[in-house]
Amino acid sequence: MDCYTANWNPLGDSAFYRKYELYSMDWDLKEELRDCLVAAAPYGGPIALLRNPGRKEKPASARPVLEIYSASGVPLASLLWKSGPMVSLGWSAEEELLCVQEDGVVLVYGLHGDFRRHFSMGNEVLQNRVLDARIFHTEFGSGVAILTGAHRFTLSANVGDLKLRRMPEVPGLQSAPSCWTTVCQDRVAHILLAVGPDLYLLDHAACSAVIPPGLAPGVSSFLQMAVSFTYRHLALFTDTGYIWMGTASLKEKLCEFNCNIRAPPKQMVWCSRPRSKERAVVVGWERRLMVVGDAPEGIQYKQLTIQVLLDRLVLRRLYPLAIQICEYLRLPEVQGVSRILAHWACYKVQQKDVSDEDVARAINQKLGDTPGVSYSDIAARAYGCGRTELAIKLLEYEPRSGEQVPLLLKMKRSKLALSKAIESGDTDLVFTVLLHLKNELNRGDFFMTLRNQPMALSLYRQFCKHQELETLKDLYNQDDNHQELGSFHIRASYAAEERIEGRVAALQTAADAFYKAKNEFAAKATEDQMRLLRLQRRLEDELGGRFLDLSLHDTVTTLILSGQNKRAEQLARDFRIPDKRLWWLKLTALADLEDWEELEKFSKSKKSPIGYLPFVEICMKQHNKYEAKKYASRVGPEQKVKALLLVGDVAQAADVAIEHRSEAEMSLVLSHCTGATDGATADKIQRARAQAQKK
Amino acid sequence: MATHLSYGRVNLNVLREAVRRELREFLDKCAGSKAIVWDEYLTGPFGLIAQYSLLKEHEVEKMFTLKGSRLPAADVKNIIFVVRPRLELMDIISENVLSEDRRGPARDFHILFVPRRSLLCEQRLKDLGVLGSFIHREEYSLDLIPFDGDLLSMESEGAFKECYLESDQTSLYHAAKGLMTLQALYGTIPQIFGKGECARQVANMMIRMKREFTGSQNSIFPVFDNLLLLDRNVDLLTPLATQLTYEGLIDEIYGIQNSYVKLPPEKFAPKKQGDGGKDLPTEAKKLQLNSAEELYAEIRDKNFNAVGSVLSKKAKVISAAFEERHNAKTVGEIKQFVSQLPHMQAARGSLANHTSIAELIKDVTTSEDFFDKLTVEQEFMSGIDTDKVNSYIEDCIAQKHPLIKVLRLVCLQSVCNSGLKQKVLDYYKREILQTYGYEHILTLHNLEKTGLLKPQTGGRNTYPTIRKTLRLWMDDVNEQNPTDISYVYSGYAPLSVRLAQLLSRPGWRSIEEVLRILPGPHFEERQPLPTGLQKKRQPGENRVTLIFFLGGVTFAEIAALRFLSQLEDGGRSKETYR
Repeated sequence: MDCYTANWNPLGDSAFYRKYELYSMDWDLKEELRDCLVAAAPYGGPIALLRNPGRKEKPASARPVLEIYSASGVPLASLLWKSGPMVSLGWSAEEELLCVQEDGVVLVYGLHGDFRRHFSMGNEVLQNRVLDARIFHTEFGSGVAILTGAHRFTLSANVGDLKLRRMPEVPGLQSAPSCWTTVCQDRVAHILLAVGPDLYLLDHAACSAVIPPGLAPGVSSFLQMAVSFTYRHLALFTDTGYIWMGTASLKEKLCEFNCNIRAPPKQMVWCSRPRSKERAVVVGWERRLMVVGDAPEGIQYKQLTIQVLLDRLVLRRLYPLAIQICEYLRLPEVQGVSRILAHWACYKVQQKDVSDEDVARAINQKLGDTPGVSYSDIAARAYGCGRTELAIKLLEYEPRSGEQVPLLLKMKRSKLALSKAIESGDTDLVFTVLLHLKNELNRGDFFMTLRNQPMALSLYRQFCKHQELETLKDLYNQDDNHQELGSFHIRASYAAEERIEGRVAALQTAADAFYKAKNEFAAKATEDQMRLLRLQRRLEDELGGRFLDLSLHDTVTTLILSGQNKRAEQLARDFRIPDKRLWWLKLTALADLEDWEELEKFSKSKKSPIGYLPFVEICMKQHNKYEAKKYASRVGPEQKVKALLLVGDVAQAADVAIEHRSEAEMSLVLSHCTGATDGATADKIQRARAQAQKK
Repeated sequence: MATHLSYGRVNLNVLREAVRRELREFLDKCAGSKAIVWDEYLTGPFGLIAQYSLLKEHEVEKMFTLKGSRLPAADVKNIIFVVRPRLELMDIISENVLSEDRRGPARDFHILFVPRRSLLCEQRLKDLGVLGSFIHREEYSLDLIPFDGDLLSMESEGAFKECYLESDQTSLYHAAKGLMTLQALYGTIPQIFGKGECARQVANMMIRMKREFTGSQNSIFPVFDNLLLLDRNVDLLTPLATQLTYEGLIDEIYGIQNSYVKLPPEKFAPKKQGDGGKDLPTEAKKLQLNSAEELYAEIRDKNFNAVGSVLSKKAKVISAAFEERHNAKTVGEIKQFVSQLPHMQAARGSLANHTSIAELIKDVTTSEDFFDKLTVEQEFMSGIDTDKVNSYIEDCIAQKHPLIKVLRLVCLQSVCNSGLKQKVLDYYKREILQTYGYEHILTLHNLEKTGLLKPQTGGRNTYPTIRKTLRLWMDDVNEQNPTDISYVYSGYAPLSVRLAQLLSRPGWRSIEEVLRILPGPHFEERQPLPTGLQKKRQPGENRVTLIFFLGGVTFAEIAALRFLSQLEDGGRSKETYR
C-alpha cells in the first residue's frame, strides 16, 4: 500500500497540497483557450468556445467558429459565426447559450447549437455599443448586464421575461469603471462598480457610494472584484495588493490579506468544494495562482436538484433514461413523465422527414390527455420549424384557448382563432382576435366575418360605441338595422350637433330610419320632437328665457309660469296633451304662482277630470287653508272625508263618515281625533259604531 | 379575521384569506415603498377584503384615485395601478406614466388588473408606448367577494346591462372563473342546475375550464352539494316590486353600496344635554350592514312590519341589563357588571342606530303615496287590471314623480301581463316622452331590448299560469311569523326563490310546463367525483346549495332564501349575486 502522503507537496509552512486529474478532456483544441471567448455552464454543464472573436470584418474563411462541448470535452456542436461581433458569452440556468453582440443584440442557442431566438438590449445600447457584458444568475432566472460605450449600465434580470432596466448615471464617471459585477440583494439585481478609490452600488432608482467595512487605507483603485455564486460574499483586490473579503451586503468583513502583488490579476473567483467549511477565493495571474481564505462556519450549497438533472438529460436527448428515472422515483406526472414527453414531442416535430399527419398522430398517441402537457408549446415549436399545418393539427388537442388563440394568430389563422376564442367565452381573447382581423382584412371582409359571429359582432359594437362611432353606424347600415340606426342618430343629435338646424336634421334622419324599421311610434315621436325644438327656439327668440331641451310638459309649465296662458293652451292642443294631465299641470303651475284667482277661474272652467281633491291637496301644500276649504266642498262623496280631514274639519268629516256608514272612514276620522277638542266628535263616532253593530 | 364570514355552513373566511394572500404576494413582489393608484370603482370591493392596515404593512404609503394628467407627488419607489381592464383607463394610465417620466427620479410602475389581465389593454398600452414601463403586469382574480357568512357577491353592477342589453358576456366569463376558484377551495360541486341562456353559457364555460385544468385533480372534499345558476331575466318581476323586508327597504330608500349605506345625518346627531342642536353633522352617516352586528342579523330579513316589536323588546332587555347595576352590591358583582359593559354599550349603540333607521323608513312607508303605490303593485302581481292604462301611474306621470318609479310600475305591469297591449304601451310611452323629455325614447328602447317592457305578442297572457303554478301570490301572508317566503313582499313570493325551493322539493319535473314558458333552457349537469370524495349521506342530513344569480339579486330574495334555509334547517345555504 502506498504511503498516503506520497503525492502531497508542501505549501508554505503548515499546509500541503496535491494535484490529480479528475478526468481528461476529450477535445482536441487547436487554439489556446486564452485566445477564445469561453463560457462554462454551472453544475458541470456544457462549455462554449468562440474562436477568433476578432472585432474587425474578416474574410469568410477567417470567420469565428462557435463550438460547444460537454463538460468532458465531447463535441456537441460547431457552427460558423456569421452574425455581428461578439462581446460576451454565457449560459443561462436553462443551459441556453447567450451570445451578446456589440450592438446589444443577444442571440440564444440551444445545447446542440440550434438557434432559438434573439432579443435586443434596447436602443441606448445599440447607439453606444456594448463595452462589456456579464451573464448572471438569480433565483428568477438568468440575466444580462451591459456596460455601454457611454458608461451606462442596462440590465435585464431575467432573459426569459425580458424587462430592460436602464440604471441611473454614475456621477462623474468619465471612463469605464476599473472593475464591476452584478450582485443580487433582496431579490433585486444591482451593479457594484469601482471608480478610482470609490465603490458605487447602482439600483434602478439611485446610485449610492458604499464603503466596505474595515477596508485598509491607502487604496487608490480596485483592480478586481468577485461575487460568490450565491451572491453572499464579495472579494475585492486593490492596487496595493490587498484583498478584502466580506459579505456582499458590505455589512461585514470576513478577512483580509495582503499578498504584496500589485499587478492586476487575470481572474479572481470564489471557490469552495461541496460541504467544505472554507470560504476562499482563488486569484490567478499569468503564472501564479493563490488561494486566500479563512475557515469559519459552514456555507450552504445548492445541490443539483432532480428537476435540473432531468432537464439535463432531456437536453441531451436521453428521453428513455429520463422517463425511467421518473418512474423509478415515482415523480408526479406533471413534474416527471409528462414534462419529458413534452420535450420529446418538441424534438419530434423537428423531424422533417416524417409527415405532418404521422407526427401529430404519434405525439397524440404517446401524450394523450397526459396532465400537464402543453400542446400549444409543442405546436409553437412546430411552427418555429416552419411546419404550420402540423402546428394547427397539434393545437386541436390543446384545451386551453388562452394558449391556442395567440399562436393561431401568429400563424395568421385568424378566423380559426376567432371561433376558438368565441368557444372559450373569454371576451378579451375575442377582442384581441377582432382587432387583429380588423388590421388583416379589408373592411368588407371584416364586416362579413363579424356577420357570421353574432357574439363577436355585439362585442365589436360595444368597442365601436366607445372608440369608433362612425364604424358603429356602418355596422348597423350593413345589417339594415334601422331601429339602431335611428337611436344612433338621436344620440348624435344630442352629442355631436350644437346648432338647432343640425339637431333637427339628425332627428330627421332618425325619423326616416324609424319609418324603415316600421316603428311608427318612434318616427312620430321624433317628428314631434323636431317640431318642439323649432318651437322652443322661436319661444326663446320671442320671449327670452330658456326653453330648449325642456320636455313638452315643462315647456307648457314654463309658459304658464311666465303668464303666457294662451300660448300654453295652444301648445297643449297642438301636441294633444291629454286633458287629465293638462289639469294636473295647470293646477300645479298656478299653485306655484299662488295665483289663487286664476286657479279658481280655472277650476270653474268646466268639470274637473281629476276631481277636486287635488285642488285641496295643493292648496294645503301651499299652506292656504282658506282656498283649500273652497274646493273641499266640491269634492265628490267618496273622497269627501279625506278632503275634510285635510282642511282640519274633523267634526264635519265625522258627520259625513257616519252618514256614509263606512267603517273605514269612521276609523280614519277617529285616528285624526286628537286631544280634548275632538273628544265630542270621537264620542259621536263611537256611538254611531255601537248603533251600527246593534242592527 | 372577519368572524361573521365563518358563521355560515360554509366557512367563507377560507376564500377571504385566499384573496388576501394573493394580494400580499403581489405587493411583496414590488419591493420597497409604494403608492397605489386606484380605479375608483374598485375601492368599494377592495375595502371588503383588505383594510388600509394590511396595505400599510406591505409598505403602501400613499393612495390616489386614477385621474388624467399627472400623478400627485409621492416619494415612493413603486407606483401600482389597480384597475379594471378597460381601454379608457389605459389611456389615463399612460398619461400618468408619460408625465411622470419627465420629472424626478425613476420609479417602478406596475399594473394589477382586476379581475383579469387583458391582451386588449396591453396592446393599447403598447400602442401608447408605455407597456415597457411596467415591471409587473399581473391579474388579481377578485371575482367573488365574501360578503357575509352565507353571501358572496361579484359587485358587478353593470352585469345585467352588459349581458342583456349589450350582449357582452364578459361578466359571465368572470362568473365562471369565480366559480372555478370557489371549487378549487371548496371542492368540485357534483351537480349543476340552471335556468336561462346565460346560466347555460356559464355552465358550458365551467365544463370547458375544468377540461383545461385536467392536470391538477381537485382532491378537496366537496362542501357544496348543488349549484343553481339562475338568469335574472327568468324572473324580471321580482326586482321591479318594492322590497318590504327591513334590509330591502333600506336599499329601496337609501341604496346599499358594497354593504354600506349612507343615511341623513340629522337623525344620528349625538343627543347631549344643552347642546341646543347647533352642531348638527352635515356629512351623511355611513354604516356598514352585515351579520357581524347581532341585532342587524336578527332583523335584516324580517318584514318591516315585524321589526318594531323586536326593537322595543330589545330596548327593554337592554335597559333592564343596565338597571342591573343597582343590584350589583359586592365587588365581584360590580366587576362582572363592568366586564359586560362594552358589549352592552355596543348593543345600545346598535339599537339606537336601528331605531333611527326604522323611524326614517316608517316616515316613508306610512305615507299615503307609498300605500297607493304598493296597492297598485300588489294588484298587478295578483293579476288585477293588468291590461289597461292604470290611473295611478297616469297621475304619477302627471305629477312628475321620479321617472324610475314610473318606469318600475309600467315594467311591472308589462311583466305581469306578458307584455302590454300596443295601445296601452304607446300611451304610456307617449306620456313619458312628453313629460320627462324626448331623450327617454332611448331609455324606453333599452327597456324593450331587455324585455322589461314589451308589447304583447301572440295574444296570450301566460303570467296567470305561472302565478298559479308557482303560487306567486299568497293571500294569507303572515308578516310577523312567516310560514312562506311570500312574506318578503307581503304577499308576493319571489319567482326566482320559488324555483329554487321547488328544485329541492319535489324537483323541477313537477313544473316542466312553467319552465318551458319562462325564457331560456333549463338543464342539469353532473360533475363526476373520484370515489374517494363521494359523500355518504346520513339520513336527515341537509344539502348545501349554492345559488348564483346572473344579473343581480334583491335583498328581499336573499331574505327569502335565508328563510327557506332555516325552514329546512339548511336546505340551501348560500346565495351569490352580481
